[in-house]
Amino acid sequence: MQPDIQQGELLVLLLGLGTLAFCLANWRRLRALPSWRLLWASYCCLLGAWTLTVMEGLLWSALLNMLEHICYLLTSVLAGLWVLGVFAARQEGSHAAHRDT
Amino acid sequence: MPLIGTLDLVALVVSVAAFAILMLGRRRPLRGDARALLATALALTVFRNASNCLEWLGGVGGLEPLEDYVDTLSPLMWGFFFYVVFQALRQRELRESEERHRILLASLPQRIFYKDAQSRFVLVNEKFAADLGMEPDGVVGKTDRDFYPPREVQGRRRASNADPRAGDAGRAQRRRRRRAHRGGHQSTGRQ
Repeated sequence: MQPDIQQGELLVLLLGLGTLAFCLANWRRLRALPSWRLLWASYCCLLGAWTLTVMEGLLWSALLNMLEHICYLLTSVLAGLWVLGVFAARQEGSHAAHRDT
Repeated sequence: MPLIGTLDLVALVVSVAAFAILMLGRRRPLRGDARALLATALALTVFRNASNCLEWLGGVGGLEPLEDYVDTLSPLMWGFFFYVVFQALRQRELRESEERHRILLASLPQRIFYKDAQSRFVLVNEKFAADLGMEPDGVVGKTDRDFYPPREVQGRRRASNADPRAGDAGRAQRRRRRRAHRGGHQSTGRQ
């Protein structure tokens, strides 16, 4: 089977890895965000989807395609939970401190 | 519809709900620019999920040409979002640090001042300003000449240039002070 990697998909992955590196460099600040684990997990799932998009052109195309779509679903669910917790939940002391973030 | 199509449909519904909550939610824990960038990133996720759904419904023709552009924008939007959020957190840390510094200066019983290379007061504590009968902000930008007679100004300048410590440590401190003065750095004092 011929490897089928599209330049656009590779570019997206590289940009995503750049954002990942930036977040890791600011890890302490990332952890200061309310419910940061949900947001971080959401972004990691999105990065996983971009990685799987590139990898499915190399091997196990059907399996990796399925995993890619699961990653997109997890990204939406985790981002939704984060938005729900941060933007729709009642005002509490721990979140009130981040009002000007 | 196959399993993947069902997953995409659920992802589409959830991402639309997340976008709606972000736009309609009453709380505003993020600054306006961070919220706009997050909304854009979520809108791109909605587009991606809609495109995946249409792929299984056989109606992908309309969205496919845009997919590459949207996919490239997505990591950029997340990157900009994190950048704006981290900048806001950095500004908040700076404000908190300045506030701690201000409280420390205000609570000290000594008279504390900062001067620039031209001997102008840059910052003074409340004790210092109170002894001059002024508010701290009123002292900023002024020099000793504005408060004391010329003879006393010269005495004060000599006193602030003289080093109470003798020996090598005193000489080293004088060298540091001269270097700082040449470089235009601020000097500090305590009276």
